[in-house]
Amino acid sequence: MGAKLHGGRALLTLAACLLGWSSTAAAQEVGTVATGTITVAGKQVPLPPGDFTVIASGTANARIVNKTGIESERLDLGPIRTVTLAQVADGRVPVVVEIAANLVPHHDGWGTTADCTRKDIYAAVSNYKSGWDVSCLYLKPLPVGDTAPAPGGEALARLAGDRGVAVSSFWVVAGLRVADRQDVVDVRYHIDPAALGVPATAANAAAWEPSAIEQQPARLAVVKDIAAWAGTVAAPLSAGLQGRMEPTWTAFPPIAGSAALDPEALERTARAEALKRLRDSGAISDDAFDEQMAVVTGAVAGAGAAEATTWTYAQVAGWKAFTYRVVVTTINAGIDYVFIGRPFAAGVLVVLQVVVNTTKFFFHEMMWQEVFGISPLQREAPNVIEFGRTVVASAN
Amino acid sequence: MQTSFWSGGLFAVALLSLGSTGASAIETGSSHTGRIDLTFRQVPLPEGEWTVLGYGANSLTSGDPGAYGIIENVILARRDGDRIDGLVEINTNRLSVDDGWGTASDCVREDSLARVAFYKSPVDGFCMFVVPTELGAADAPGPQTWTAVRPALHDGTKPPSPVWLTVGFRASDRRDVLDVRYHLDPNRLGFKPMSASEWTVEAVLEKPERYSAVNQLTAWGGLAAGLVQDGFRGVLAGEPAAPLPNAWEVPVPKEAGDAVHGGNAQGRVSRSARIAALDGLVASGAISEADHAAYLKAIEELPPPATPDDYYRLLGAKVVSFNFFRVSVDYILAFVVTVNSLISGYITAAIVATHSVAQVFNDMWWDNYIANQAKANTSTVDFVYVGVRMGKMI
Repeated sequence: MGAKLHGGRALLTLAACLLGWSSTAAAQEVGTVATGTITVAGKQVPLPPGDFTVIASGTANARIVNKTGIESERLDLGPIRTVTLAQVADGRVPVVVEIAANLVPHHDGWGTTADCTRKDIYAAVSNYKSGWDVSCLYLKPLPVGDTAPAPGGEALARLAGDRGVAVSSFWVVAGLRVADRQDVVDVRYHIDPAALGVPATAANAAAWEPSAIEQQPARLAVVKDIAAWAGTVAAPLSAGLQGRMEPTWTAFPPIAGSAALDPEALERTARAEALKRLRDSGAISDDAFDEQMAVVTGAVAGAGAAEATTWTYAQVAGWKAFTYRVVVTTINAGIDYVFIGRPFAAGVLVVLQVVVNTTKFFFHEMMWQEVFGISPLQREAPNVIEFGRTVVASAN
Repeated sequence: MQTSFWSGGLFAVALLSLGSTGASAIETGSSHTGRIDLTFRQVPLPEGEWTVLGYGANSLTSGDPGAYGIIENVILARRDGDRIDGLVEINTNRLSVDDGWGTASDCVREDSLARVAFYKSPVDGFCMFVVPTELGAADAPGPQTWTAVRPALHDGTKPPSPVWLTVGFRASDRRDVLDVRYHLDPNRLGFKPMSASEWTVEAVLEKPERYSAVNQLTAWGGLAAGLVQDGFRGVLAGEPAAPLPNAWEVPVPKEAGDAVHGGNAQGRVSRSARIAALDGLVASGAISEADHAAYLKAIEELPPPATPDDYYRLLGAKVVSFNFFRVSVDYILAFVVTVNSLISGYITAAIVATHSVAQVFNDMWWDNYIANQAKANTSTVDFVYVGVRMGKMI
């Protein structure tokens, strides 16, 4: 009896601890002003310099996108917190930030966003990707129109009306998706090119087409600044996903002029300085410092955990077909000879079986893997998960 | 341009101070109840007052994760009267790395008393193990911090148990690692001091009371696992520190397989955590009761993770699927050559029987091969641990 009581108390204690999640669920209230970073569902998100006002906050559902682009709602992933912030400066809205982050932890990975897999936009870069975690960045033009609503939607329109500020009909979007096994955060920074000195409207969106941008230095410079800035905040966002953003990461560079920054060099420098401080404080020896500095500067590659050997459907099907064929051809030779009794006829049948059945086996394997995956322990790519937005394959 | 230069410079300065802040305020001699807070991480503690007896840097004995700065090493102890009855040994990195950490060798050793891999991939992992640890000797080895702790272990009127039971956890992701080992005096579980040979797998299987104790510790580990993982993710920060129950208070499961809720299916533990999180959301007003009901239904209806039985069922279905093609194609081929329906039928029947078996074994061999490759890709990273972990490592 005593044990049972204690066990019950143990479970209650555990449940009480798990309820700790509720505090991270606290919504950012509309009207809240954030500077430097904002915390959404426990995830810290970097912001461009200046004050940002929360103009909308709510929840959305997650949707998984299958290989053919069909979306289906996944309520088992729980509600997704959505927060939209806008900055007002010089009578305009230069930046709108849309953030989506999970409120309920998952156990089996979240996934990437369809935009990170597109090839028809300015850029889509994968920092890392496995079946269970992902960090990617993309840039795309967003001309506001019938099929592409303005960022912030009605909330931004309300803000514009209330404050009498202008809102662009054309934006350049820098999106970042960072996810691990338990958590996900999706951030879309919408930047009005006018804020970087190059006004743009939906009417002249053709000039901002990814295929046309290379020939236009001024517009290209805007896109490069935005790309570099987004690259600079990718690492802090990865840390912020788990609430581990360093308290010193409170100020991020302005977007204008960011193309001059080298995000990788900045990160290397930061790591090197952190190591120097540890050495100076006596926490690590000179030898340990030298050893780790060699990894930071790239002189020596850290071994880390090796990436999984990735098998493609065709590779697995091909190898399985080969080994299977070696075994069954031997069996077939025996069976065919036993029942036919003539070596030549049996040999002809074996050759036919090898050619026809190997092809049959290969394509059956391919079909099976397409439906059920390569093996129970391999996940070849993360899922594609979207939050509260409708993805149209060819639209923005 | 000048503005952006200076701003960029300021950002660089901000980045450069990485590692100077966020350091944990842990001091030797400080007491902790329910939980100890480290840099960005928290570690749950069993009931009682735990005192930091050792705090310093540790070193790696295997693995090469990159520029991790230092491994913070904390050893806490709890007193029961004049003797220490529990130790908590913590190792965690100070700087994040880029390519993951890998698992602990104790998570993959074949002679552990219990072990559970909640999940494992080349970039992350979470596992639990129960092993005996020889740490009661006056010269028991350990990290540098252990030298300050070891004398305290021998302060009591009675000598400490030579062998302690350790419930350990290793949580890691692409950036960080947390290794927590709860060393428990078997005396608190009702055992007199025993030698190392009495806690081998074989010896435990022969003695029901020892077998029950291991199951009890495994069950306790299953309860603690969710909090350890939450602490690794840093989500316990700022929450009330509710202590873990003591291991000996946890009901002894009837079967070893029941010891860890979710040990056989990683979704189970997570499901309870997710439902609790959902309950928290409705309690805080973040979602409505109706939404809560819809999400809860979806979570509860989610099929459990696949089991080995599902795997074999899938293999069987695959053979049946392939036999549709096999029967027709092989019969036609045989008939083309023999022009005899009876012989063609015999050949086809023989092929179906033998090839189905060959196909199953071929599939199992390849699946096993690919799975082993995934395991091989998960490197092992170890630190200097307290005491001697008995048995042979694989």
